[in-house]
Amino acid sequence: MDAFLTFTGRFHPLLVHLPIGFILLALLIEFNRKNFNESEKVLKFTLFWTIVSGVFSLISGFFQYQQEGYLWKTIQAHFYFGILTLVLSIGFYFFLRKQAFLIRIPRLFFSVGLLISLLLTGHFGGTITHGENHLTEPLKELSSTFLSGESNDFEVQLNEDNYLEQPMYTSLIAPILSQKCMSCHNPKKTKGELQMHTYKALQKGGKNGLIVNYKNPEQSELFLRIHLPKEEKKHMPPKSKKQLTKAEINIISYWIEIGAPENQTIGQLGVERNKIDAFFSKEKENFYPDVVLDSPDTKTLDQLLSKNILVSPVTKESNLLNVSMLNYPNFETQQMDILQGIQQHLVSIDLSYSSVNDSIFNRLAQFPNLVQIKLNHTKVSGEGMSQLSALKRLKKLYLVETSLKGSNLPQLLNLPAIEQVFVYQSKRNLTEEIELTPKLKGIIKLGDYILPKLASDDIVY
Amino acid sequence: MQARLNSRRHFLKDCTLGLGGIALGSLLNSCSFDQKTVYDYSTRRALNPMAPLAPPLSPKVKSVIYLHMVGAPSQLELFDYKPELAKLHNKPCPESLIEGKEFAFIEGVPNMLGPQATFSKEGESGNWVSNHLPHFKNVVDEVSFLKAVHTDQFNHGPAQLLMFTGSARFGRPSLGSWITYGLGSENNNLPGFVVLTSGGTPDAGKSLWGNGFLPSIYQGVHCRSKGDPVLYLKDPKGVSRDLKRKIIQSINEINYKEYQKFQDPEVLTRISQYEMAYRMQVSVPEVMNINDEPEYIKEMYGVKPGKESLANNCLLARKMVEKGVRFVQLYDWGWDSHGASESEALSKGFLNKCRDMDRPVSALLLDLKQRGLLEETLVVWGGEFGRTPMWENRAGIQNSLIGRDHQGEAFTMWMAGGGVKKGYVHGETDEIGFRGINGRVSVHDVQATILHLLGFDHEQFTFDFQGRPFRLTDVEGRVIHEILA
Repeated sequence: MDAFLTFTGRFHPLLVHLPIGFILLALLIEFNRKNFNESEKVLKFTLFWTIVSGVFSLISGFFQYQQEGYLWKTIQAHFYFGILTLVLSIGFYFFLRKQAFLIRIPRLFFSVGLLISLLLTGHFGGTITHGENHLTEPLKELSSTFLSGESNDFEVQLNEDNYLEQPMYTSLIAPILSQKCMSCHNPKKTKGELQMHTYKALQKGGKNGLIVNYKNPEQSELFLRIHLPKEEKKHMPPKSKKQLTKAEINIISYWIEIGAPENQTIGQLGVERNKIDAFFSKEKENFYPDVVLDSPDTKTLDQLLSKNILVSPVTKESNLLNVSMLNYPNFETQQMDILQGIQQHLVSIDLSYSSVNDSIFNRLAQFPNLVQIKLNHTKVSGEGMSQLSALKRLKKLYLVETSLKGSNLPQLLNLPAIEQVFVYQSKRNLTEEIELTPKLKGIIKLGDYILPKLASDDIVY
Repeated sequence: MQARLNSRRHFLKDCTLGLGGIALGSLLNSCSFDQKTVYDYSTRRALNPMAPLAPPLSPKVKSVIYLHMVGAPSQLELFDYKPELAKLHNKPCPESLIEGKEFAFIEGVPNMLGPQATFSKEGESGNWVSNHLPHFKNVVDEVSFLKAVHTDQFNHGPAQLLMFTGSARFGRPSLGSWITYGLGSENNNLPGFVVLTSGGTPDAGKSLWGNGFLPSIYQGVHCRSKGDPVLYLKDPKGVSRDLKRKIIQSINEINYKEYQKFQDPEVLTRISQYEMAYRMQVSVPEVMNINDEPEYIKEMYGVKPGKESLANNCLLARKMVEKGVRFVQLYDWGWDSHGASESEALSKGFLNKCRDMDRPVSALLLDLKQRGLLEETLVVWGGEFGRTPMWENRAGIQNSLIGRDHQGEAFTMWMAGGGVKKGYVHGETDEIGFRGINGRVSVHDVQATILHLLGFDHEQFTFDFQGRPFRLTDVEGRVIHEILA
């Protein structure tokens, strides 16, 4: 009997579409009734079948509620509005048959009432099968894409400082389950009679018994299902839902393998770091500025490329550009105009081996997003370097093997974001020209490393 | 000819795909919510297969210098300090240890061999370095050790192939080829992938820098530090550089017409190699000339001008990276310390190898560092496998000189440079250095890590060949996050 009821219940999603179709047809006729000759007759006919199919929908719906583990709270609204829709259809039908006590009610009450009630029933029904945020979710994602330029789809995050003291279940497993499983397995909606919102609920299992098998972990239903190919019917999460990532599958599997501990911390369990690397927040500061730009116009880029100037983005999808004059040794300071079109895009420029002079600093100061400048093997002496102070993001400056004068080094203190300046000169020693203050020593990399010769260097065994 | 090639069928095919593509492209564009547009740099590859491309992920380094000690240096005499092994010196190896194990030469029951070096903790990191590497002690804080690397090959050729092509069999592209295929090369006048050898050619030969199924432009260019840097680069007698340029121009024009007809990438390879060879006639001798370096730099590396040596190659590697060469591969032959002859003995030949490697390699790290190059270069050091804690007994008789057999289960490598932790140790071997017990990493893991640092996801970086996508790490490999800064 149970099986029969379940079977009938499963017809509900199919059956409901009959009255929906009939009602919409009836309403279309109703609102265009002046164009039809026999509209009243057709309307009565349509509404009659609405009522018949409506009754069957109601019955099948009730069976489904009883058999499939839905909570009353969840289906309440859908149920009441379903009945209301049916009642309104019946009312309209008898109104058209000129039942005495109904004629006093305005015709518009039935038609408009039916429309509203149908829409609400449908909406509450959809909420049960697809989740409460089903409709609004894409909107949210859309707006976040607009705002940040990328969707953040990962929220489980461990912290370098304290992850060892965090219980593995609460800090890692539970957040993953809550994101990817709980929308269908919670006290409200309990597919397969399985809830996953607490550790106890996991222990309890679902319709098919235990999902975590403590004696034989690899036979755990949870373990098996997440490993099934996506095309398999039993694969979880279902094909249409957001899938677990590889790292998530691995860590859940590992957790089950070690006996699905509830309270032990990551440190106590000795979880290897490589298993959880994916779950650390990647909030390390980026070397390149966090600005989103449109692609520079193709003409500028083509022009640069035709001149043997190397232009490449920092990563494939980025519009931040590295430029190098490595293949253009005759490049001179005046030619900087050629970079006008990528003023905002330029984040790193390599002018090593080129023919630029000290006036280059003035020109470089006009590229606000520069984080790195290389002037190795050029004639610059450092005169006018302080103009680079206009560059609020400049972190690295290379002045290796140049005509750099020690006396110009203090200008570097004006650069607001500077972290490292490489000034190694193989044929002279800058410290002979100037005594470095501790502040300067902090940013200037003098190089001048040597390996003292050892007696053993000449021993031949 | 042209008329025959452009048949009606071609026209229709071009039209449908072309026009459809244009329509679809503009359609998709108008639908896109993401307003950012990205310029397609890959079109540059149509004319120049070596055109530099950006990697998909944020790179930590842009060049690699890979120092390979051909023959497999003994980790037990250099970095993997095993005091317990000293106590077992010259005692028979417990049979349980070698039961079912295969060795290249060991037969029956060998004796154990204690460490043939003294060790000390060096640098701020306090990591172990042997007395055979006195200079390296100065740079130990720059490197991340991998102490439990393992390979499944115990013969030189296959093990080297696995290390550099991801497969122990012939036919796959080498590490450097993959990288130049993915990133191209910055310097127009120098090859993107340079190979420098000292002491001899590695056992697996040129396949170690071969392009496999990638277009042949991506194969390594073997430069010699003695005599002509690149063979057959000089013009023959009576041919002036001007004449040469004209010849190459004409040949390339003909070749380009050929390419336009058949779209064969190998034709492009041919064109760019002719051009490259012409430019290299000037640029290679220039970059290969180490005489202009200041005396103390030459002294620091211990270079021997005019000779073929690891020291010369290390200095050249720095010069090349400085000039934008993407991948410099150094092979130093002669580390196969079996104890079967004097040059193979841990008490003699090995010590000479250590001396000749220690100074230039340490100098290379320092020189890169002082020029700010170490932050954007990855330096990798290693062999194709390790050596046994047992004294080799070839044919069952203990070798007269001290030596160790091949061991794939555990050996030491190190990495230094951009994106790599400084003064760090990952992995640990058992008390006698026979097996990794902690933090074991495979050859594919090392490759995955190198690609990661260059901005590639090794699982996504593929090339379609014979009906399936191939990748360097085949179906394995895991990025060694533990050593990443």
